[in-house]
Amino acid sequence: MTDIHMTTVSRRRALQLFGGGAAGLAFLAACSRSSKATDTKGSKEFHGAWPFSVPPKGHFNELPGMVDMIIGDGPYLDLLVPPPAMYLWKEKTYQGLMAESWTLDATAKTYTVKLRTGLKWSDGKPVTSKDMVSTWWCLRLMRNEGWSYISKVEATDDQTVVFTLSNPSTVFERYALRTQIFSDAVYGEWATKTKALFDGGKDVDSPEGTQLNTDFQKLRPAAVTTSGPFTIDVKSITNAQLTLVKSPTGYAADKVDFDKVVLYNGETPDVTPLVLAKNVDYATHGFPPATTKEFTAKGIRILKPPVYSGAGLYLNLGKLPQFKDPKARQALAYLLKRDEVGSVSLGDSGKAVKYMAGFSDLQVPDWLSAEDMGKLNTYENNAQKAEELLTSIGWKKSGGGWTMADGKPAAFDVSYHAEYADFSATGQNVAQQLAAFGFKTVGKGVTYSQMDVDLYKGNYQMAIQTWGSSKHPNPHFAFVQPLFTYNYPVAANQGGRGIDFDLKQTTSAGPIDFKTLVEAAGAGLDEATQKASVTKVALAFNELLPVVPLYERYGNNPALEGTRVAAWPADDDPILLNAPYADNFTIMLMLDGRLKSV
Amino acid sequence: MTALMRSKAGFAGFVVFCLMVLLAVLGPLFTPGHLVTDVTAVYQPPSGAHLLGTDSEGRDIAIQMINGGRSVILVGVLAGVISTGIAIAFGSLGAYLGGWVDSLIVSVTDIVLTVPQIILLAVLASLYTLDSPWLLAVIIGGFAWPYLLRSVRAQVFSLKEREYVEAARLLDLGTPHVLFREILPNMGAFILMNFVVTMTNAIYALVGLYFLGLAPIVDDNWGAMLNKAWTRGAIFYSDSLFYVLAPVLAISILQLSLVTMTRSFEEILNPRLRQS
Amino acid sequence: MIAAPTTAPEIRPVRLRRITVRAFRSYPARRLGKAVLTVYLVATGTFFLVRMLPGNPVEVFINTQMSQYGVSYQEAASQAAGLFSFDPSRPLLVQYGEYLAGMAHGDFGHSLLAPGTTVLDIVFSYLPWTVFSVGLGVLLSCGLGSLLGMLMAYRRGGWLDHALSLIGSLLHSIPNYLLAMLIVVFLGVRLEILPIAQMRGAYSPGVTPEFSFDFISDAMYHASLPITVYVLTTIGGWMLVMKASTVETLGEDYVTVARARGLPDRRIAASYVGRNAVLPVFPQLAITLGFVVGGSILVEQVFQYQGIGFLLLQSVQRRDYPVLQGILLIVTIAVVAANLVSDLLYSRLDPRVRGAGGEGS
Repeated sequence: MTDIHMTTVSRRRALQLFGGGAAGLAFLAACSRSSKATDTKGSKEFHGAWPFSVPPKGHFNELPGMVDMIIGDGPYLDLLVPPPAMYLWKEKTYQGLMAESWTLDATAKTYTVKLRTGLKWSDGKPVTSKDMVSTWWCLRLMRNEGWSYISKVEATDDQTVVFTLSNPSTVFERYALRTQIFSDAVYGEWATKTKALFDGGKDVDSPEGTQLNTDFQKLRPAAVTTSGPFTIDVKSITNAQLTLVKSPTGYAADKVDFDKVVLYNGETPDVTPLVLAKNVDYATHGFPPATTKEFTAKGIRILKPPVYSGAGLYLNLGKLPQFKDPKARQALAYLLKRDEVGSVSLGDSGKAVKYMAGFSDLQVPDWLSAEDMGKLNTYENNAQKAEELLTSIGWKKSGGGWTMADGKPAAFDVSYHAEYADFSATGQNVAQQLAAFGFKTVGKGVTYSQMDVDLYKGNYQMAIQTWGSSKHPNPHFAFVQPLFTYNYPVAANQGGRGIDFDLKQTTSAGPIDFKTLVEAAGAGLDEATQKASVTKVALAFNELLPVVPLYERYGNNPALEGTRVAAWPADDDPILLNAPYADNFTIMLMLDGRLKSV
Repeated sequence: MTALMRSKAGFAGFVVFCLMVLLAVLGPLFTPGHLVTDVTAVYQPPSGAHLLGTDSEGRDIAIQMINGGRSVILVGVLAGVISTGIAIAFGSLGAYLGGWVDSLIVSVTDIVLTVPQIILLAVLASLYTLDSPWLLAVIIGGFAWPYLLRSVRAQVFSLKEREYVEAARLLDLGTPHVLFREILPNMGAFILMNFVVTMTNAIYALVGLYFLGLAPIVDDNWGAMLNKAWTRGAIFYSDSLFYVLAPVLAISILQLSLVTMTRSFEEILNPRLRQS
Repeated sequence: MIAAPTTAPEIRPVRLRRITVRAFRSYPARRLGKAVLTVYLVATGTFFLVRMLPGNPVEVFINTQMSQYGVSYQEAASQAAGLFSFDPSRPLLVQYGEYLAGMAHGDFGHSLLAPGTTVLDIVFSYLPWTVFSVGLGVLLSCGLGSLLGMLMAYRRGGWLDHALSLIGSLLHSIPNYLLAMLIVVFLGVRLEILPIAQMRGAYSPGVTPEFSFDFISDAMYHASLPITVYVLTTIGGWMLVMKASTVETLGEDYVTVARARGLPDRRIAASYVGRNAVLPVFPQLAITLGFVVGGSILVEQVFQYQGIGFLLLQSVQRRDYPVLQGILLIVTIAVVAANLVSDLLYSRLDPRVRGAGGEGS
């Protein structure tokens, strides 16, 4: 290859190549953003983030229970179609939005909601009780859970809606007040058809009902008819973002200080660069600790609202019968360093569980008396105590490991959802801690759709799964999760037994039937009786530990102050105790007018 | 050996490759096998105590790098060998023998090529635990060969008509001889380059399996490190960048050393390139 | 064909039969037949394989609602019952039969999770973007890579060879999603060279897809980042392969002869070396192009350039069988078609292959 001719030609060739390449690059550089692009530079904008799908996959039929609605599954829906009221978790009261009052009549067994006057839809029609009634009939068609508490819903006048309770419970209030109200102009026809179906003696399981349901799901309105301060600008939708524009006749339009809300599409890793570049003012995604550290380093404030749930260690008693003895489970609670697990999984947003009662530590003082709280064992980290408990039931320490009572060596798998950053960190850390203690333990990441199935079918030895409920304030829902849902009562639907924990147990306080008690905790209208049931369950849970709660999750919502948004309230403001996925405080502050633009 | 040393770059590549393999195989004997979580030392930048800093659980990254090479290199090399082996064997056989053998091989190749791999892997993962490196190598290699086979086959087709091949055939030297002594050596450089590329692809296919949760993360190998770094947002935090870059750089250097090494092999396999 | 007038009527049918037999014996026809068969087999295999995934759409939906949205089991089950017309108990073979019948009419069914939208609608709203970005990326990468590879082979041992080897190898060994994220983080966030918020997505807000220079320019603007990532991460592979192939071709006798004959080097490079060296690259290019329709899931996510890859992953996770089958069918057809074209063209490109092994006339 030392032929001079060759090298000269090749050099020329190289230059030719580069010349061609440069021309190509010039063409590419000339390609720039269309001048028709609507710029989002303007006054009073709020930038958020939420994943959505572009039409035709994404659509505007936003009724609860549908899939692929555009932003309908997140907090921003409340800006488009506000519900009658939203809940304040600290004060435990509802704050009326579309409704001005609501009452429960225990004797007549009715629940009445009175809507405000003077409210209008974006199509000009007034908001009346008919809209709410139509919404509820459509919800019945979608088998919404709210209907399991009522037998009838009707409008007694233009502003008043009356629910007739068939299964009176304090839990129903949340369904009545928190469900958004949709336009009768869009949904009225379907409500009429559904009512006719039920009046004819049929239900949703009948062939006509199923057909009506399928047809309803095919409904594709051209846009969302809104009653709130914002409406979706359909032209602005791209697969990367969409814009909500102010609807001047909407509820609270005058109070809300922003004219536009830009929502960026994407899951956590895709949205992170935008937050770092200070393009996003607020996000509810679950950011891992490393990312949160970088946010803080950039001067972005991190809000940590409680989520009222967290990660726990689920034990499959079917596969690990040695753990049927509560002492073995208690030993696990003593030997695992819960603060380490929390710290590794979520940094500051993972706080070790203190009361080990099966529901959020923040709610324990509300439901248990001070005396009962004193009876709760906080299982402080004590490896010594763990060893004593294990040896007392026949486990032996041999060599570097442990042998269980039946002679088999202690070796376990800890399964976890591979894609969930926090659960995978939890699973791996728990496995390491158990291994360090002397059990041969290995962490097993399983793809999340598979993992969920495995949890029901019992295809695991130990697994990481949520304890608690982030949507409902009543502890009944928190207990349901480990004791019913991932246990044989519900798991049987998917052909398994879950944790296989017998619901009839004996504690130091006597025999207990978890099933009746948990159901009682969520039933009836008398809070005092509910509290009594909750207390009994909590104390039994604390002693028996059907699952071992590890840490409680707090959000790590980045909140950018000073760029487009003035400021969020101080950290000790009670509204910051609202569960962000249930009654998002940013939305409430916006509707209030308390969240102001810069 | 002297041929190897002829190209300086090639020799350098060879040395680096051997060093990496040695480090990966022997290194773990000298480092602690089990690192303890230290919550106070999370995401520390590189320092005297921790040469590459620490990860999300406060564990030393440099040690993990040393421990983590073995299974990854094993899977990569094995998958590359399996894949290249199958491609060469059946590609050349099919092209050389022609007729129904060729038709059959082409059909099977097409089917394996178009079978949706993710689905098949997901189904397999639900039925068996894919934790052993050998099993993973077989699976990954088993999916990678159709791509190369077609190229090999095409090459052999054209080489088959060469005079020296015809001469060998006339001399009745037998199919194996013709294939292995006459045809394949002329494709040597091409095959080697494809092996290296396949190997890197196999390593990243392994990482992909971790990402999709189809292969359980049993130990802290490079692929697992990359997966953890990505899902735990290490790429966004300035101090944790090494957590992400270290395994990538390692895989990079591995491939680079092999690529430069093949430079020497080119000369061994193709005497016409040797400068006298 | 000397025949007496009395046998004239027999000539035509015989000739026809000979032509049809010849047509079927001809390589292209047989190859096409094999291709169709392959597509059918893989489509059938996919149908059953997809249903072997653990869990069915209803279960998966319930689980997702519960774990990601904190909904109680009762509510989730009710929602699922209200949402799906999917009946897991229907016999598989019946479902299969319906699937085939539907396909014959061009009806690929409706998405399970969005009963109002047909599979084809969904797929074709994502497909063009994938084909556009990934396809352009592959063509650019292969074209540029081949040229650079040839260059490297010519200047073997020189600094260009070493430098390009190094860069190509390095870039190839970085996973494309990582490179994408690094570009976003470093160029977009840290150094603020690129306005990433504006470059995300397939087109800018307020712009409607149409055939105008304005839209195409806008689309190219948004596609530039994904294409750059695809090109950078794959060009190394093409370069190295092309270089190896060129090196071998350069050692061939006919090249020496051509040089001895005094042909200009450019002519040798183009007509003799280039044409022969690119041959082994060709089938690989064809297959890569076929797989373009599969997209690249993570890169699409990083740039929010949602294409088929994203749709595929989502349908797998939700077990949306019709959409999943639709996508896989399209990928299968694309790859098989690419292979078919590559095979048929190959015999045109390389005369030595014609007449060998039953290929060609």
